[in-house]
Amino acid sequence: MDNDKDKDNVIKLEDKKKPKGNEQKLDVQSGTLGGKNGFGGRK
Amino acid sequence: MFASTQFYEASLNILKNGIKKMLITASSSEPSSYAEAVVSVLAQSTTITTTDMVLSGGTSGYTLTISSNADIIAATTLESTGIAKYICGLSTAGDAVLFYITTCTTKKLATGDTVTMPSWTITIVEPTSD
Repeated sequence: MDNDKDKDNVIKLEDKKKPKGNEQKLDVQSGTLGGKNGFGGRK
Repeated sequence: MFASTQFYEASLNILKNGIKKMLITASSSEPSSYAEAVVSVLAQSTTITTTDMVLSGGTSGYTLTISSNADIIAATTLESTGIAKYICGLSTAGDAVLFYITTCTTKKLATGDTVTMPSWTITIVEPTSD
């Protein structure tokens, strides 16, 4: 019984040691080249 | 005014065939070279293949759609913590070309985070008079 308890505790501690990160959603800006703004290039 | 299909395709195929890696960088200013982008990397994609980018034409121009599929995004691992700001399309390290830069949601990335990005596009529209 005690061994089982110890086992549980070990797992819990390991979980704490390794922080789980968050899933970060990054929206990316789409780009348009051409038209009246010319065909790109640095401004 | 007119631009040929060959013109649109050639221009966008430079990106489609040349970009091998997408980097999320945290530069305080926009990277101006391959080296600058690499130095400020927060996370990077696995190797991108031409199937990750789809070229399509319409009546008003051509669009390259960069997929959100697993090859580009899911395997992205965080290499450094910081505030994500730019998405950079790079060649192989051997060619060292910075092909394209755009911006992304400005967001702090922390250790253990994973990153997802919806698909996005690069479009060349038909020429118009000034």
